[in-house]
Amino acid sequence: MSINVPEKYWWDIPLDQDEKTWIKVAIVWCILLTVMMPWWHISGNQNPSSEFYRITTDNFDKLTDKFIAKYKVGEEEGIDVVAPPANTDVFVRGSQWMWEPILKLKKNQTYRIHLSSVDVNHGFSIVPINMNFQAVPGWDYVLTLTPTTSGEFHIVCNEFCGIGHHTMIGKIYVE
Amino acid sequence: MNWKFRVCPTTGLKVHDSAETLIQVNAVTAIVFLLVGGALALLMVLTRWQVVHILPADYFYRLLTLHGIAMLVAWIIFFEMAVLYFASAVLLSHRLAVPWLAWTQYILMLVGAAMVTVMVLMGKADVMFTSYIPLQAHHMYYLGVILFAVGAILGCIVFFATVTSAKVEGAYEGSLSLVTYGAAAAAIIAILTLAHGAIALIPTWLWALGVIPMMDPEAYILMFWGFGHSSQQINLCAMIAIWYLLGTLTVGSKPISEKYCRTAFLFYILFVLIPSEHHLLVDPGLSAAHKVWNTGYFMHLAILASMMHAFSVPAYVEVALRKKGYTKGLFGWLKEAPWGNPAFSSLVFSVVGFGFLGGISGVVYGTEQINIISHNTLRIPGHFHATVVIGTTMAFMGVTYYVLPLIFKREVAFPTAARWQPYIYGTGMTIFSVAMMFVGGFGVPRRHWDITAADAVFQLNYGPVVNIGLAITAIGGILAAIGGLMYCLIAVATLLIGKKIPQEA
Amino acid sequence: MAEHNDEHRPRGTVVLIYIFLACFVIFTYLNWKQLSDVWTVG
Repeated sequence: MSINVPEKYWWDIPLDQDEKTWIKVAIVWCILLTVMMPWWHISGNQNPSSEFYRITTDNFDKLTDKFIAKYKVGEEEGIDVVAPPANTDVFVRGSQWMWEPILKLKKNQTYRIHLSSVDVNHGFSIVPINMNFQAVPGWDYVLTLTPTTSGEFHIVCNEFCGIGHHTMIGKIYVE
Repeated sequence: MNWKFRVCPTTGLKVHDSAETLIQVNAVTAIVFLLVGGALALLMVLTRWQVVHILPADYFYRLLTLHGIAMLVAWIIFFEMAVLYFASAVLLSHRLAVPWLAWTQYILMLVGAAMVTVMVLMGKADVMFTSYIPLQAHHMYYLGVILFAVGAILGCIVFFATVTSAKVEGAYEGSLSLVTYGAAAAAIIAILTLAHGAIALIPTWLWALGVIPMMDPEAYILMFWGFGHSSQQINLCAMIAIWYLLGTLTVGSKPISEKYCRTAFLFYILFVLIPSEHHLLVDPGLSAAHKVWNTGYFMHLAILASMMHAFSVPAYVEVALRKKGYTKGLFGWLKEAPWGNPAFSSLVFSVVGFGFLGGISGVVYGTEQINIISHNTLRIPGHFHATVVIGTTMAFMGVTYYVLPLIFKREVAFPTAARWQPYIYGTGMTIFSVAMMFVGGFGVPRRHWDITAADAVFQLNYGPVVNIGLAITAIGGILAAIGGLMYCLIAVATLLIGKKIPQEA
Repeated sequence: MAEHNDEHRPRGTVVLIYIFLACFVIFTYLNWKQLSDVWTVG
C-alpha cells in the first residue's frame, strides 16, 4: 500500500519490464523536445531575440520621439503614422494606454524593432498574426522582424497595465 | 506528556486530536475560499462571453485579481496544509509536533488572506495575481501575501518536525510511505518557492511603503515566477501524492516499484523549479542559450518525472484491479472499476485531465519558440486551468470524500449528488480548458475585458470562430461552477447534518 | 514481486500510455507547424 512503510531494501528491487521500457521511450522523447529548441535557432525563422539593452524610460521616450519626427508621413486618430525604410531602427513605445507610432512596413523587408514601455509592463501582441512579446520599462528589446504577409494588423496589449488596458490598441500596415 | 488519540474504525490509523482539529480548520477554510473563488469564476466567464459581458471593466480586473488569489493561493494552499498534516501525523499514526506552531500557521495565513481580500475589494490592489511592478498596490496587500507565505513556511516546518519526531520516537521503521514521501517533496519545494516569494515581495512591500526605491521590473518578474510558478510545483507534488493515496483508498493499489515512483519525486525536487523561467521566454533580459538550458534541459528532466508518474499511477490501479480477478482482455479492469465512487472518478479526471490537457499543453507552450505564439494569450489560462483545476483541485475534491468520514467522522451527505459531482465538474472544466486553449491559438489575449476594443481608437474583430469559442468556454465554466457548488454544498452539508460515524474512545 | 504473473501485468495501461505519447507528439507537431507560419523574427 502506498500509505504503508515500504518493504526493506526497496531500492534493491529491480524495476518492472514495462516501467523500464516506458522510461527509455520517455527519455528519447524528452531529448527530442530539448533538441528542437537549438535546432530551430539554427534552421527556423521564428526565435525570441537575445538582443536587449538597459535604457532609462526618459531616453527611450526621446529616441521614439526622434524616430517619429524623422519618418512621419501622417496621422490617424491623432496617432502619428511613420514609414521607416527597411533595415532601420524602428521604435515602438508602449504607454498607458497607447502604442506609438503606427507603422507602415513593407512585406519581406527586415526592421530592427526596439520595443519598450515608458511606464508599466505592456504586452506586444500582433493580431491576427499571433506573435507576442513583453514590453518592460527600463529594457530596450530589439526584435529583428520581417513581416511575411501584407494587410492591416493591430497591436493589442496583452499584459495587464491598469484599468484602460483593453483600450490600448495600435496598428501596423504592411504593403 | 499525554497526547489524545483515537483509532479510526475504517483504517485503523491512530489520529491525534490536534492534528485532527488542524486538518479540519484548514480544510474548511480552503472550501470557503473555493466557494468565493467559484462565484467569481462564474462572473469572469460571463464577462468574457462577449454577448453577455456582465461586469464593468474596473470590477472585472478587480475580481479577476481576487479570483486568482482565492483559488490559486488560498483554496489550494490551505488545503495543502491539511494534506501535509494528514500525510505526516495521521498516516504515520503519530502526534502532530508543535501544535501551537501549526496554529500560528493557520492564523498567519488567515490574516494574510483576509488582508489581501479586503485590499483587493477596496480597489487598492488592481494589479492581478502577478502584481508586476511598476503597477503598485497598497502596501497592506503585499504584507498580506508575505504573512500568508510565512504561515505556509511554518506549516512545512510542522510537517518536517512531525516526520522527524515520528522517526525518533519509533512510530515507523525504515522509509516513509510513498504518500508521505511525496508530501515531503511538496514541502521541500514549498520552502524553496516561498524563499523566492520573499525576494520578490519584501522589497516590493518596502517600495510601496516608500522606504526603498523600486527594484528592476524584469528582476521582479524573474523572482515573482520563482514563487508564482514554482508554487504550482507544490501543487503538482501534493496532487501526485494524493493520486497514489486515492489509488490505495479506492481500489487498494500498491506501488509495483517504490524505486520508480520515488526517483520521479526526486527528479521534481532537483529539476522542477528552474524551468519557472519559462515565463520570461519572450522577455528581454535573458540570452537564448540561458533560456534553452533552463527550460529545455531542466524542464524536460522534470517532464520525465511526470511521464513516469503518468504510467505508474494508472498501472498500479490496473494491477490492483487485475488481482481482484478483472483480467478480461486489455481493458476489462476499466469496465469493472468503481466508477460510482466519487473519489475514483475524481482520480481518473485528475490524471487524464492533468496529463492530456494540462501537461502536454504546458510543455509545448513553455518551449522557447512556441512561447511566441502563446505568451499572455488565452492558451495560458486554458493550460493552467487543466493542471490546477482538473488536476490539483479534482484530486483534492476526490480525497475530500475520504477526509469527511475519516477526519470529520461523518458519512458523506447526499451520496447520489456526490456520485455525479466529479462528472459534472470534470466535464465542465474539460470543455472550458479545451475551448480556452483553442481560442488562445488565435492570439486572443488573457486578462482582457473587451476584445472588441469598443472604447479604443481602433476596433478589433477576431471573427466568429473566436466568439463561438468564448461562448463554449463560458458554457463549460458554468457547468464547472455547478459542479463546484455541488462539492461545496456536499462538504458543508456533511459537516452540519451528515450522519455521525460511531468512534471508539 | 514474485507472484507478478502475466495476467496481472498492466497491459491496458501500456496501450493507454502510448496513446498519450501519440497525442503529445501530434500536439507538439501542430504547434511547431503553427509557429512556422508566423512572421520571421530573430
